[in-house]
Order: sequence, then C-alpha cells, then structure tokens
Amino acid sequence: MEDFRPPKWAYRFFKWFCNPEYFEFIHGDLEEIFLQKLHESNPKSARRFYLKQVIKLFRPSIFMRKSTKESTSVLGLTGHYFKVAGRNLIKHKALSMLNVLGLALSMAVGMLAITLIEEQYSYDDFHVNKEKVYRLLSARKSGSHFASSPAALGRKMQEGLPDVEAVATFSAAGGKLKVKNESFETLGMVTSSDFLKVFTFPVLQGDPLLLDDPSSIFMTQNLAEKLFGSNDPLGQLVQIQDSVQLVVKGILYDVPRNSHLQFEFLISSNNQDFKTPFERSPDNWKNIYTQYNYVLFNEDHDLDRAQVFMNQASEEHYEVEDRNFFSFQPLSGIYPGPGYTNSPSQGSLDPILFKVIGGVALLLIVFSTFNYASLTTARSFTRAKEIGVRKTFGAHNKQISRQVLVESILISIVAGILAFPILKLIIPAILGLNPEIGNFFLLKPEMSTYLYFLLFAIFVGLLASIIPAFYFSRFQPVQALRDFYSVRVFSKAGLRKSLIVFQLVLGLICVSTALLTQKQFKYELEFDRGFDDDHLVNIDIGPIGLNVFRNEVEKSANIIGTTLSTNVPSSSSSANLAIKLTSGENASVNFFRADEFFFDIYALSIIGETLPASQEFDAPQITINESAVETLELGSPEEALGQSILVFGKSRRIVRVIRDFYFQGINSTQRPLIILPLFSAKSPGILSVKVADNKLRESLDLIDRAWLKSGIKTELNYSVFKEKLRQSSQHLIMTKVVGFFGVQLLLVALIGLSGICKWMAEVRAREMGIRKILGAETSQLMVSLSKGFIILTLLAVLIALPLSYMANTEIWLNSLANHVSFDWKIILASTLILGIPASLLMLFPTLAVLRRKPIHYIKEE
Amino acid sequence: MKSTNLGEFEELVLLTIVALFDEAYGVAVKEDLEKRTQREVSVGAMYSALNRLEKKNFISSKWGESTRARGGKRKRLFNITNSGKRALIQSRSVREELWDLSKGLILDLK
Repeated sequence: MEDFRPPKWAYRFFKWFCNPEYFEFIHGDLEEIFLQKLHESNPKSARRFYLKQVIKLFRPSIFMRKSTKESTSVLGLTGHYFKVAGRNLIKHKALSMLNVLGLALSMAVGMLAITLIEEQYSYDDFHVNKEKVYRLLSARKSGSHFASSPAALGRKMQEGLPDVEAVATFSAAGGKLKVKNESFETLGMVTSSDFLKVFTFPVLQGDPLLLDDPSSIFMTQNLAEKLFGSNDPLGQLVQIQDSVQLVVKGILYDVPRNSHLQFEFLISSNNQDFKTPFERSPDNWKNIYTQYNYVLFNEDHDLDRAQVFMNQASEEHYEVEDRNFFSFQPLSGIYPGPGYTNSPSQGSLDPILFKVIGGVALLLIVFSTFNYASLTTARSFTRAKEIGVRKTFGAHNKQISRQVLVESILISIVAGILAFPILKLIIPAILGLNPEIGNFFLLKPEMSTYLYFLLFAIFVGLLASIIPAFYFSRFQPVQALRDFYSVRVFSKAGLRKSLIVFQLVLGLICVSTALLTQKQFKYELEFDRGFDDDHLVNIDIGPIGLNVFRNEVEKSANIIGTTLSTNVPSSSSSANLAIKLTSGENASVNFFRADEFFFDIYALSIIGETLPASQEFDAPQITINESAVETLELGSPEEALGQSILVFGKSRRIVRVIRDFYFQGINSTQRPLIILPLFSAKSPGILSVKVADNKLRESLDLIDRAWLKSGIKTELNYSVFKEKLRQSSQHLIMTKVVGFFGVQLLLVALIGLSGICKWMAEVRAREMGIRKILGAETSQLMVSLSKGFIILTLLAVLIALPLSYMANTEIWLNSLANHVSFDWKIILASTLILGIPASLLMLFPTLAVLRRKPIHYIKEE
Repeated sequence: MKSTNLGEFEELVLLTIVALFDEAYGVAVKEDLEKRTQREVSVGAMYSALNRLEKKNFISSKWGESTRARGGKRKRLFNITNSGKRALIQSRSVREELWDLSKGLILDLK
C-alpha cells in the first residue's frame, strides 16, 4: 500500500533535534514541499525527498538552542557557584561537618568495596588468551564438583578436537628444593611446555620448549635469587625430594599476585619421579583428583561441540554407575567464582560476601546521600531568601540546580578526601580479623582504584544533589521572599522519619547481633570442656629429634609436663572407626592415639582404671569414655573395665574409663571415643606442653631454644591453646564485622537524626521564643521540642530488638548445642548504645535554641 | 562584533526575499531560488542561511497565516531590514567597481 504521509520516524527525528523555536514553520514548509512532491511524482520518491531534507536540516544552526541570558559568562558564573558554595559551607559549619562526616564514613566503606571488588576482578587479567582459556571441571555422580580432571581427558581433547590449540595439564609439586645442602620450602607444578602457551607467564631466560626436558626445572626470578643469590641461575643443579637431580633451564617472571595459580617452579611431566603411581599410567581416567586441565581454544571455537565431545569421552571411559561428568569454566570465572573441592588456588572469596559488602556499602551510601538531601532541604528555610533573590534577578531553575550541584559535589569531594584516612584505618582492621584474610586480599588500592574513587565521589555528589536541586529550583520566588517561614519543607516528613527509623533499626540489629556474638565468643572461651585447657602449648612435631626436644623441655622448672598425641581436643577433629557390637551391628566411634601422660596433662576426670598400664607402643589396651561405654553396650563404667573389645583386628583390654569431655568443638554432641596408645615412636603428632602459671613467656622462649638445640630441621610451629581458640573463633570475626557495619550504620543514622533535630529546633525557634515570653518553663519547651525524636528512637528500638532476637535465635543461635541467650543485658546495652548518643545529639541543638534570648527570634518581624 | 559580511548564497537569499516582498516564506524563497539558479536548494541549507541573515540583523521575521497544505502550521514571513538593504547596496557597489575595472577584459574574451 502506498503511504501518503512523510516517513514517521524521519519526522520524529526532526521533531527531536529541531530547535522548538523553529519547529513550527520549518515543519510547515516540509509538509508543503512534501505535498508538492507528491503531486509531481510518486509517494516513494516524495518520502525519500522528505528524508533527505530532514537529514540536511540536521545542522548546528537548526538544532542548537539559542542560548539564553546565562551565556554571557559561563566561566564567571561557575566561579561564582564555587564561591557561594564555599560561603554556604562555612556559614553552616556544624551542618557541613555533619554532612561531610556522614558522607565520608559511608564513602570509606564504599571505597573499601571498590578496592575489594576491583582487586578480585583483576585476577588472571594478565593472561593474553584469557578469553579463550577454559578450565575443565569434573563432577562425581554424587554431585560433588572438582576443579581437577583426568590428564587423559586433556590429552584426548588435544588429539580429537580441532578447536583446541593447546592444553595445559599440571599437578602440584610441593616440596623442598635443596641446593648444596640448604633446603627451601616452596611450591611448584609438574607440567609441560604447553603450560607456557596457554598461560602468560613470560619466560625471562631460556627456551620455553626446554620445559619438556625431563631433567629441567624452570623457576621464578624470586626463587632463583633465593637459591643462588647473584650467581647466574641457568645450568645450576637443584635437588628435589632429596633424591632427584634437576638442572635450571629457564627463568620466569615472578607470578603476579593476582594470579589464581601460584607457583615458584615448574618441572617437566616427562620426569616420572614426580608422579604418583596412578598419574604415571597415561590413560588413567579414574584419577580426577590430582591433575588439572586448562584448554586454550582457537579463535572460532564452538563450546557446545567441545561439550558434546567431553560427554562422549565420559560415556566411553566410565561405567554407568561410576560415571564422572565434565564441564567448562572460563578462566575469568574462576576468581572470583564458586569454590570447588581440589581447587589449585586458595579458595576464591565467596561471591556472596561480595554482595554483602557491596550491599552494605550501597545501603550506607544511599542512607548518607539521603541524609545529605534531608539536611540540605531542611536548611532551605534559611536559604529561601537567597534563592528568592536569585530568581527575581532572573536566575533559571537550571542555574539554581547547578548551585546545589556544585555544593554537593564540593562536599562529597571533601568527604572523599576525608574518607581516605578512614579507609586507611579500616583496612588493617579488616586484615587483622583473621590471619587468613591476607591470603584473599591485599587491599592495596592501585592507581586506577584512585580514579574510581574520584569518579565515585563525584557520583555520590550527584546522587546527593538530586533531591535538593529539584526541590530548590521549584521554589516560588514571591512566596519565598514574602514569608519564608511559611515555606513547607517538612511536608514529606513521613518519608524522612521512616527512613531515619529504618536506618536506626538496621544499625541496632547489627549492633545487638555483634553484642550477642561477642557474648557467645566469651562463653565458648570460658566454657568447661571437661579438661584443663589453660597454659597449654601445642607443637606440631615429627619423630626426628622428638625425644631430645622433649627431654630438653621437661628439664625446665616452668614446664609441668608434656604429652604426645595424634589429636588435640577441641582443635582438630578425630577420625571415625566402626566397631562390631555383640548384637552384630556396627557402631561408629571416634578415636585418636595418645601416650600415658595425656590424661594427667589434660586433667581428664577418670572414673576408673586398672593399673599398672603398659607404657609400650601399640599395647593392646585402650581408654574409653562414658559415651563409648553406652554405645558399645558394656554396661556400667565399672563393668566395662577389664573387658576386651576388637579394635583394628586386635583384641584390646579396656584399662581406663573417663568422663565425657569435649574432644571436638563444644557445639558438637558428645560422641563415643576410644583413645589408643601411640602406634610407634615414629608416628608424627602434636606435643602438648603444660606450662606453669604465669610462665608462658619464659616457656615459649625455652621451647624456641630447645627446638634449635634438638636440631629439628622443620620450622617450629606452635600454638597456645587458648590463643588459638580465640583466633579461630568465627564468632569473634562476626562480632567485629557485624559490629563494624552496625556502628557505621548507626553513625550515619545518628548524623541524619541530629541534622533534623538541629533543623527542627531552628524552625521552631520563634515559637519557642514566644512561648518563653508567655512564661513557659525551659523544661516544658525541651519536652515539646524533643518529644518527636524520642518517639522515633524508641520506635526504632521497639522494632529492631524483637527482629534481631528472632533473626539471631532462628538463624544461628539455636543450631549451637551450647549457646548464650539473647537476654536483657543485650537489650539494655543496645538501647544505651543508641540512646546515649541520640539523646546528646538531641539535647545540644535544643539547648542552644532555648538558651538564646527570645528577642533574637522575634525582632525580625 | 558580529560579522556583517554577505556571502554569495546569503546575498541570493536576501535578494529573493526582497523580490518576493510580502510572500517571502520558506517554501516560496526556496522555489524562487531553485527556479532562478537552476540548482537544488535544501530546506536545511536555506534555513541555515536565513538564520545567519537574521543573526546579522539583515532580515526580520514574523508569523504569517497557515494553510491546509501546511497541515495547519503557520508560515514564517521574512522581511529585509534597513541594514540588510545597506549590505545589499554595499555589496553591489563593490561589484560595480570591480566590473568597471575588468569589463573590457571580460567582454574581450567573448
């Protein structure tokens, strides 16, 4: 069908760009010309002609809006904005301070989130082929996922799939490198030269292909320097695993910190000495646990085809009931990404934590910008005059908005600068939460991060200015000038108040949760575990030098005694063991091994024992706890003594029955336990050293010296029991993190609250003045001024604490076997934490208004 | 200070406006120009010239009547101002001077 109208979209485009002043008559002209063309030729060419005209109209002289009066001196006006902005900030010092502080606090958290997220996303960014590299994942039929996959799969893909350019297959090679009898603990990988093709780990010296030479080792600059100092590392000999001789054939750049793969040396997979027996057979599909495959595809690869290929391989090589499934994971998805068992990297940070930190940061920013907007518009009654005058002199709405904009951006940049020192304070606090956190992040802002910070500050400024700009520019000048007291600014008070309450509630929930977790932490630390956990130092130790060390330590008067065991109560979980009951059923029992002194050192309470017990290794005798007596159906503890049960295929006599103690964490239930004698003098274990009261420092020195003296090669690794308990407590970390966010939220909320209090006091100053003149008492006026806010605060408490109680007990408290309760102390403490600063913040502006002479407020009439 | 130069196309447009007298609106000017110069003038080019002329104060404009052919849109009527007239006279005198100097040579060539 022929269309006798001009093309619609051309018309719309024209309407969009055309200066509205010209629109009507040019549009008329176009219509007229179109009609003419329609008469002269066919609609199609008329339409084409119309379009051509529209396109030719798209020129500055048509679409540029005629600049209005403000064009006279844009630069001068911008300067003026800054001048007025500066004056306003200085004039209202207290309010500006509050604004800056509130913004700075939340921006610091925002910056923390930016640093964290940028750092996490920078992982593996340096690989040239990062878009084309995928990791192969395996999944058991049971649903457990592994980051590893059989080497055979990698080989098969390389041979059978044209899309594959190279496959890097590797396994970890932990170990001691030895150079001239000096040994170094480090970490390496067993792989082929394809590893260097797939990943961008540049080779500094040597030919990458030499990595396939069975006797070669490649190492990073850093390691080479550690091993050989300033000597040329190429061609040097290195011994690994005490027996295998390797030659340094290549030097690599140090592996960047933001690489999910960390290693210091590479050795060839052609060297058979590093492989476990099942890695040695080239076609082993069973081993999905120790080897990793990373595939480099070519430009136009088809992932679906590759997936089909892998599915076929899986079908081909596994029985139905024992099938493993394979899938891809892009390199960029590894870090940050989901954690898999067997990941060659330290586990990536849980993406959920990201969202939590990002979410809290966002929440804080929204709150503080809202507070800013609230404080700024609340101040408007003092600025109504200024804006009225501006408007009367012909200021545009846009110019008023711009003034507000400049002010908020100025404030947020000042806040951004102030946020730096706050950030600097936060970062070490976060890194100090747990020694392991340092593995996850460096939290060192990069240059680019600072750029993001600046953009972020400006963004926050813009965000903060939206409401005030809109609000101020809509002022009616006449009304603003005539009686600016009547300007309604609190008309949306409901929204304001509910947002303040919301902030207070969130803050209170966090603070009360932190108090609760702290209480739980203390409770667990003091908890009676059924053994004496004070003054204990635990040392990981192997058989070599053990006796020398032990004798050395025991000689000291500061040391009460030592005991060697394979497990330490409460800090490591012990293995399980099945024991056949007389009824024929199997009972599951925990067990570990310990020497004779164990019961003394740990002061376990003994119900009964038959003495003398043998001191020999692996003697056929055991100690069991009360729960075991019951589980193994041995009657009463007394009856159990002397009976024999079959453990590890050997009949063993029960020589001791002890009371239950918490040998696992205090929140697991009491389980049956068997303590066997040590297996042999060679079994590695943990030496627990009992130290005399108040002699911990001296004893640690002594242990250090004894370690050196006994000539043990490995590094001394000890932990003070209570200290470790304290450090490894999740509740302590939770206390700190939740408490930190809670305090931040409360601070931001209080800043908002105090701003509104201050403003309310000023708005009602005249009313207060008159009431004072009429004879009202100061106390009455105070009540009337602060009543509203006290109600707000109380409301927040009433909402937050029951919510917090329910959430905490439901989510975690009830799942613990031994836990504290959310009691009145926590309720009181949270209320005070909010109440005291809140009432002070309300008191000061109120008093300031009430103390001034009423005449000051009245005289302006 | 704004330029008071009169470009070639601008001069043609300005003269056309004078010639059309009361009926000088967009389409009329465009058609007249096209007829006389034998070249296509786009609406964009013409309005950009008209804009320049108005900025230089050589023409003034006012709203005219609307017709059905225009979809009810009003016309914009253009009129020459006194300074426009002066600019035309000045431009012409420059040309005449130059013609006087070069007339012999140009006619010789014929």
